[in-house]
Amino acid sequence: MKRIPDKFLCILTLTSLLTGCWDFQDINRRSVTISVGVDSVNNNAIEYSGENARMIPSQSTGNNSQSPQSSLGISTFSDVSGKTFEDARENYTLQTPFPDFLGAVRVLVFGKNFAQQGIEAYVNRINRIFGYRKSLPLVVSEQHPTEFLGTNVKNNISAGFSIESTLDHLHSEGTAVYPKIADIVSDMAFGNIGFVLPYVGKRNDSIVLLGYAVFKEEKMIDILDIQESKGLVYILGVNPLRVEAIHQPSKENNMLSTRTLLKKRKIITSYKNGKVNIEFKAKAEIQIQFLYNVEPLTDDDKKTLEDIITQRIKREIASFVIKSQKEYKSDIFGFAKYFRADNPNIYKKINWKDTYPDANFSVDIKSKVVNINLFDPNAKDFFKEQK
Amino acid sequence: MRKKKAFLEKIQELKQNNLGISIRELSINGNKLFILYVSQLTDKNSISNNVIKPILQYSRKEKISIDVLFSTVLYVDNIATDQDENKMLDYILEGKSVILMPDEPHYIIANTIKVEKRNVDIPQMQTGLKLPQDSFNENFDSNLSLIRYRIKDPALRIDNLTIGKRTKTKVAVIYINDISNPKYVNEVKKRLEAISVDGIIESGYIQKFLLNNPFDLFPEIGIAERSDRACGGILSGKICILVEGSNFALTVPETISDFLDSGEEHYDNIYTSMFSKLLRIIALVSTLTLSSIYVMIISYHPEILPPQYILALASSRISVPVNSFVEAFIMEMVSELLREASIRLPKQIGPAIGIVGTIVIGQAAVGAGVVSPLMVIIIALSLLTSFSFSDFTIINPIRVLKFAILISTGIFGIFGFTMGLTIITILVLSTSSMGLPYGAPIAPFNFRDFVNFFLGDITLSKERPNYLRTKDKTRQ
Repeated sequence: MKRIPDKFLCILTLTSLLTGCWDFQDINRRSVTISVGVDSVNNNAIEYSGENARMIPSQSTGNNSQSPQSSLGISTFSDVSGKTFEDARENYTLQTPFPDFLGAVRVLVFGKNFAQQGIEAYVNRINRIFGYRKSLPLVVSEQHPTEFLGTNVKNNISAGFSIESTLDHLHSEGTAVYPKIADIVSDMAFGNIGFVLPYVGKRNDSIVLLGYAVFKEEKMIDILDIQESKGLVYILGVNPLRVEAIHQPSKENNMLSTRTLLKKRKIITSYKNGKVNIEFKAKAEIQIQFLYNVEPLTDDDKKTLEDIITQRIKREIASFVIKSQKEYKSDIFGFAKYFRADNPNIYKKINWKDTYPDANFSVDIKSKVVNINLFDPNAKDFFKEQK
Repeated sequence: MRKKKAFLEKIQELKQNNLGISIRELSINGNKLFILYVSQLTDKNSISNNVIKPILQYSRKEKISIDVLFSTVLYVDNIATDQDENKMLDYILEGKSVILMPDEPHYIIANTIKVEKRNVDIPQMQTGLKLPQDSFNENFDSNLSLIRYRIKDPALRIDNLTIGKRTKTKVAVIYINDISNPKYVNEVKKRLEAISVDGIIESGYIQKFLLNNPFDLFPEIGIAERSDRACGGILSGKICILVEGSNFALTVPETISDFLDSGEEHYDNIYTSMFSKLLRIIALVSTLTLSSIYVMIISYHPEILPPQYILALASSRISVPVNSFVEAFIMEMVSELLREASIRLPKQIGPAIGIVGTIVIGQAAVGAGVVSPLMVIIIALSLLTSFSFSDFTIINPIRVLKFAILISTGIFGIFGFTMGLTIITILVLSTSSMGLPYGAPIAPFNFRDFVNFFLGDITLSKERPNYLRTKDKTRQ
């Protein structure tokens, strides 16, 4: 056997003493937290609520007993409050039988009151303390978190799981924006920009994405309805998707089911004549899924369809950006990051908060029908003959 | 006359020493003749028909003498003469018959050996579906014949040595002269010649003597139970060592990649071969790490799993009274006990261990709430994966290291696990077999050798492994 050098052993011993691996605890001896809710209650006290995994051993008895059974359930905790996070936390610890395990927290839910007062302190807390995942999603709930997390949901084992699954699914579909704690920390550290968090609620015992909570200077200033927020998803979403039915241009009584994907998105910024110019460019790939009534689809139809969709997307994006400029006066899209990258020296000289509301914004969308799904391409000649 | 006296004295001495040597005295035309042999080692038919019968039937006028016997009377095919009376006992104890006449200065050694031996049987350890079934047995000549039968190359060299002061065990160093690197051949011979021990009972002794250091953890010498495996090694440029009384041939130099090769891949489809190799690599790593990973996740880092699994894991362990390290350690010990018991038990009651194992571990332990169901799966997998190697010598150190890494993980978590793996990797890579790096062809890396090892296809392996530094580098 080769002799292991003494230096190597020294490094091994020192690092092992510094790793903190001594404080281990089996997972079944920890309190597994599924979700955490934070809200501000009377006299600005902090209130915690949430869901814990509940594991109960039950020894089966009688002749049929074969093995000890264990059941998994979700228990909720509420009415844990204190003047500060630390006080509230201490009150929570007093009623917990095991040490906390935060690695399985699926979602952090802010109540509206707390969101309006500002989430910066709590975001800093969970960013710095050990245990939370940096990919933890943050949401604002319509209901009080204690109520929101305290009831059963019909489509998942708990509200925490349901919120994460719903957002994750919508995000991958390209129909929702799904910021994680790391993104929010990054936005806060960047300064001068706002951000949005999903706004969720409970409808018929299901978790529903109702819209987005708009944050300026880490305080909630508005809530956007989901129908009004498409422009937000086109800019901030991953592989944004638009699904809609449009009248067939040549047959007004017929409808086309379309599916539009925004690709090759670009944000180009410049600074001219003391004004910031922001241009959003994208290519819209339109897929026609089916026609309500099967009718011939002409090249003119496709051209008109492309124009309609281009205009709609442009309108939705522009109106939303203008709303952020004029109403919120906050760059919730993070255009500042692009501007700073393109014009670092100018960014240092200007005050983005003041400049952004007056920035020129333009949208350039190029749409194309890439898939008609319904027709045999060889039938083109047939349509030509018909003409 | 001096010789005559010496021979008679020797016979007298043999009689007195009670060595179990049979002495047959014949008288032909008034000339005394002695035949000395060990009846247990001698083929009685051969000595009766080829030695005694022709001597008794000698009726020629010519005076009988050792020269006459040697050249015109004895029917034995393997025959020699010698003058040294001190060597006489060695010849007899080897199983040869010594024929002497007190008046003659030299004597005849006739090979009438008959050793009780097994037939060429099917392999017990290195089995496979599509492999030749002729395995080595304990008979030296029989084993040599199997190799000679497969390799009819005139360059095949069989260097014979006798090792063991008392057992005088025959050892053959077999290689192809114009392929094998003389550096390795000389090194093997040097180490064999340096052995000074009273006896070699099995090739395992030679294996130990050939190690660089008796405390080396990994096997540096390969074993071959089948002749095709031994011959494959010889053709690659390796050296095969046959030991009298052992049914395992040794092959050197050996690298860790050789232990991942069952031999069957060479006769099978290229994709099957790649898949099998990959499977075996996974099996090696799994055997070593599965229970440690379990402890690491349960006790230290459950967050690396998706939350649903975390909950399932926590739920499955809710009734287990001990922590995951103790649980894993006990279960690994039990599985090792079962393995040990199943090897030692007679074949007739061997299956009982399977039943006991299944009931004790699989059902009763979980039922009693002593271990979690996942732990049972982990242990079963760990045990199962350890059986996927044709050369069991590689899995023995892994079994020991498994406990080392488990303890390290139990104390230090992922840090201990990583450190354990790092130290094992360092140990593997710093080992050498007869001077050849143990990690070849991966470390030092040689792309062509690595591809040839992984594909295991004779049509694509146009050259012999580069790391063996053979004289003749090409196969085809």
